Parts: sequence; C-alpha cells; structure tokens
Amino acid sequence: MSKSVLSIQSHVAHGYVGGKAAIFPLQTQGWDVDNINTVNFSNHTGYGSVKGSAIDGTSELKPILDQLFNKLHLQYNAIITGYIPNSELIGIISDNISQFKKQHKSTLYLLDPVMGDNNYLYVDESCVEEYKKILGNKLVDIITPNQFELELIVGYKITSPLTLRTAIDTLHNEFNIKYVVITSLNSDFIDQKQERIYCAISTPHSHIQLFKIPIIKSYFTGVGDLFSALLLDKLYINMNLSEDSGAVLSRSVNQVLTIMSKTLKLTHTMALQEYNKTTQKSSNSLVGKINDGDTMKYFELRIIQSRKFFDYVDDGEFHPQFLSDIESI
Amino acid sequence: MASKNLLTISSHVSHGYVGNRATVFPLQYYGWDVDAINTTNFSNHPGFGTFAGKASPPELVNDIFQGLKDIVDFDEHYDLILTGYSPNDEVLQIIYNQLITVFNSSSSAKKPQWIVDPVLGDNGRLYVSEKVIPVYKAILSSGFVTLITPNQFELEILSDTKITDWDSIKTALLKIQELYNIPNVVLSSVLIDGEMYGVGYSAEAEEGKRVFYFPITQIHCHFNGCGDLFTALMANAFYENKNKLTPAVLGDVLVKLNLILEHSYKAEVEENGSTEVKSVKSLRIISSREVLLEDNREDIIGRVSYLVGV
Repeated sequence: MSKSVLSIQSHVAHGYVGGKAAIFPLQTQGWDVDNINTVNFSNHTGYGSVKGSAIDGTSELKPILDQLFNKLHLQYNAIITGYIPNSELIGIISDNISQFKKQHKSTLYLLDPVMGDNNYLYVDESCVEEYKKILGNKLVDIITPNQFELELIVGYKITSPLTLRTAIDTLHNEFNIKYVVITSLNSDFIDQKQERIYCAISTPHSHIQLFKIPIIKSYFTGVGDLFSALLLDKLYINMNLSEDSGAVLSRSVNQVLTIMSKTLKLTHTMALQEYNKTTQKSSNSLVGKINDGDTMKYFELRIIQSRKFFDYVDDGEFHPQFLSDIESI
Repeated sequence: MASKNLLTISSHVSHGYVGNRATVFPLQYYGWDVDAINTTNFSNHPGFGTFAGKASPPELVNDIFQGLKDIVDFDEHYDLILTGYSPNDEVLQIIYNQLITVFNSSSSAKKPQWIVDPVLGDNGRLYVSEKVIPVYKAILSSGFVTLITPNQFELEILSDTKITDWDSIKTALLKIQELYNIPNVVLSSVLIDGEMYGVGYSAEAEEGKRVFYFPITQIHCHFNGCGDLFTALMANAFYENKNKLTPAVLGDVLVKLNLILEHSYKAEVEENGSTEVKSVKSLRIISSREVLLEDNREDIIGRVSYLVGV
C-alpha cells in the first residue's frame, strides 16, 4: 500500500536537521514524501556559520502550495510541518492547510511548532501568534512541542504537574488536538534529578503518561525533527491496528523513543570513532558543542546508518508512568 | 559502517521524482551521506503541464557552496560529486567555478570523483537554454571529470555527431575522447535500427573491450526522471567497483533501472485503469526500493557485445 505525506520544513545541504532528518526515515518505511523546503541553507546553525536563505512567500511558497493542492489536486495521507522561519510563511501554510484539511478530513496533520528550546526563542516573536492561529482552526491532529514551545502556546510556565495538566487540557479542549506529545520536559518538578528529561503524552480519554528519557550529554540537532517523522509513521500504523487512541499513542511513542535511543547511541559511537581517527586521540568523552563546527560535525545524526532501526515494530523498551502516580508521591 | 559522502547538485521539485528527488533517496538507501544543493525550487516538473516555483537564484547557489566550504573540506570529505540539471548557464557557471577551484587547489592525494550528467534535452529537443552548452563543454574539458552520462541527444550535441548507427556511435565516442579526454562514458539508451541499447566506454579497458553494450527491453513510454535515476545508480555501482566502469557494472544498473521502470509502468496502468499509458510522470522509486539492494551484476552479462575499433 502506498502512503503519501507532504513535509514542510527546512533544507540544509549538509547535515541532518529538518527535512534531512525526517524525509529519509519516512521513505524507508514506504512513504512517498513530497517536500517543500522552507529554507535553503548550507548547514544548520549549530556550526557557528551558515549561508543560504528562506523561501519567498509570494513567489515560491504560495504558488507551490496552490499548485500541489488546487491544480494537481494531490491527496495526502498526512501532512507534517516543522521549522518555518517567519510568521508570513507560517500564515501562508496555515491558510493553505486549513483549506485542504476542510476538504480532506482524513488527512492527518502533525504540527511541530518549532519556535525554540530551553527558554531560547529561535524564530521571531510574531511566530507565536501565527501558530496560535493555526491551532485556533482546530485542524491539528498531532502536536509535538517541547516544554518551552508549550509554554509559549499557553502563555505560562510549566512548573508543576497541575500546570502541565492544564496546558495539555488546553491543547485537547480549546484546539481539539487528539494526540499530544510534549517531547522534552525538564524534570525539576518531577523528580529533581537533572540527568533526565521526560516526554509527556496524552489523548482526550486517557491519563497523561510520562516517559523517562536518559540524557546523552552532548548537543545534537535534528532530534525533534526525527522524532516527529517517526511518530507520524508509527501512529499511522498503530491507528490502523487499534481503536484505543491512548494505547495507540503510548505504543507509538514507546517505539519511537526506542528507535531514537538506538540512533543516538550509534551517532555517539560513530562520532567518537571518527573524532579519534581524525585527531589521533582516544577520547571517550567527546561532546558536541553548539557553535563549534569542529565538534559539531561529528555529531550530525547518523540518519543513514540508522536505517535498520526505523522499521522497529515491537512494544518498545520504555516503561511509562502515569502523571497521577507521581503527583501522589 | 563506513561513511560514504557525496555531493549532488541538481533540481528540486516538491512532487514527483526528477533531479535530486530521483537521486538522493536511492543513494541514501545505498548508505551514502548525501549533501544536496538544489538548482531549482519547483512544485513539480513541467511534464505535468503546469508548475510553480522558481529556479534557484545564482547567488543562492553560490552562497550555499561558500557555506559548505566554510565547514567541509571538499577533498577530504566527498568521495563523489554529482552534477545534474542546471536551469541556466549562470547557475552552471557557478557550479563550474566553485568545483574547479576545489580541484585546482587540491593538494590532497584524495580527490572526489566528479560525475557529470550533462542535462541538455532529449529526443532532439533542448530543455535548457542553449547558453548552457559551452559551459558543459568547458566542464568536460577541465580534466577533472571521471564519468559522464549523456543521453543520445546530449552525446550528439557534445560530440557534434549525428547518431544513426554503430559507426556514428564509434565516431561520437572517439570525438568525446579527442575533445574532452573523459575516461568513462555511459549511455543509458541509444536507439539503433529500432532496437534499444545501453552503452559503456572505458578508456582504461584493453583495446577491443573499451566499448561494450547490452540490448535492453524497450517500454514504449516516457519516464520523467529516468536519466537522473540512472546516473545515481551508475554513480554508486561505479564507486563500489573501485571507480572502474565494466560490463558487469553497466549490466547491473541496466537491470535495476529496467525493474524500476517496469514496476512504475505497471503501477501507472493500475492507477489509471488504462493500458494506453504513454508517460509515467512519477517513477515509483519508494515502492521499488528493494530492487536497489539486489545484486544484478551477472544477470545479463552473457548478452554483452563489444564495438571494435575504438
């Protein structure tokens, strides 16, 4: 069975973020991926130097979307949007996808509201309002913000189980989103241990679950983009196997985290090997540092070499807990 | 797993499989880390009747090269460089300048192999500006190109020889050697007396074995992106054979290409519910991906012929 998805995110000539982190994994799983590149850059910004430019709204993005949706009348099983560099482009994408979704209700829309991380905004502030407009159209099926992005959407800090619950309820109730995945939560209010982050998941009729994720101490980029792509694939498969949306999401996220963990381990191992080979050293504690091209280049996600992990279909190696269990401790 | 690194410079379309969209995935599936510079940003190829978007501005292509050079040592990093569709002479000139600088300043023993698909047109019709032709001629004359993959029409233009029979193929290939001294030439398909053949030329083979060809099954249908896919498959097979073009390498690629075209044709017939399919606008590269990993080197090796006198 052929499956098709429209992916709208960044393109870098070298390295693995945005489309480069998302498209190949989806293609290996049989997805025909149409893609619109929101930027054309030489590399991701973590190197400290970058060249290239964003797509133009009027002469490129708008006519391309119009061509795909209204002239070629393409059908998609899913749409995934990631990094979009400015509010004008977010607006165009929002308008076009809203129109499309109204006519194609069964198309799954995964929105990754890429705005920043760890209290650092890497798009213009005006993007926050544009993302809220998309959400206000109530056509998003799956959302994958990190903690900071969730905070930007709801307008307050997540500092307790209660604020987390309230924020997630807003996504379900106000914006009608079925599958909510908060991809990285600081553990401060959960267990005070700094070496972990948590992934929180929720559907309208299930209890919020938390996955504990071990941190590899290094700066990786593209992790969120790979996560969203894999989530789309696993959700799509599992939704066709079960009606229980809570169980479907939990199983899918468990599978995705398992693949991510394998991919990050391989990335780390290969980074060390290549670093030691190139520099004639025998380090086992190399870390990728942001804005440092000399270490960053070793820490590009090994998307190609991880191909064998992407078709993982078992239960997953993680053991989620209910948020309510933690609250009662 | 050892890393293999490749830079491909060709067109981008959002929908369908031509240019980089036809080359990147197969190469990635073969384990290549593929860096891609897009010479266009189109919704789809013109074969659909309408399209939107635009060619990459020359400054953007230049900037991206520059950005790449800031973080990557081309000599050390890339094993292969692939150039395909350039929409105009300005973009092609930038590609030429950027790559020539790399090759000229190379002090390293290791250099990338440069494979060029001189995309000009097909079936007697140019689909790029004719100003592109002299730039391709300059590229081919640079002495840095390892392998070229023209189609019949492109070979005719580059060699200034009309191809009608095996003698004219011989003349054209000799002319290519005389003018550009390219060590390897591959033609995915030439039509001679109503029959179709895939042809290879390897300068380093012994006399009498330099030009070899296989008959191929003709599917009477136009496939967009076929040439781009062929170049990608050839690039990988050539590299995996230690940068040597042999009948086994060509045979392997021809068999795989034929399997993917057949699969695409059947899918098109099924989806259209008609047996009168004259063109396949989107190759079914994703759903035929398992074909890529087969070993077809011996499949048609018994059917190889040689053209003597080159």
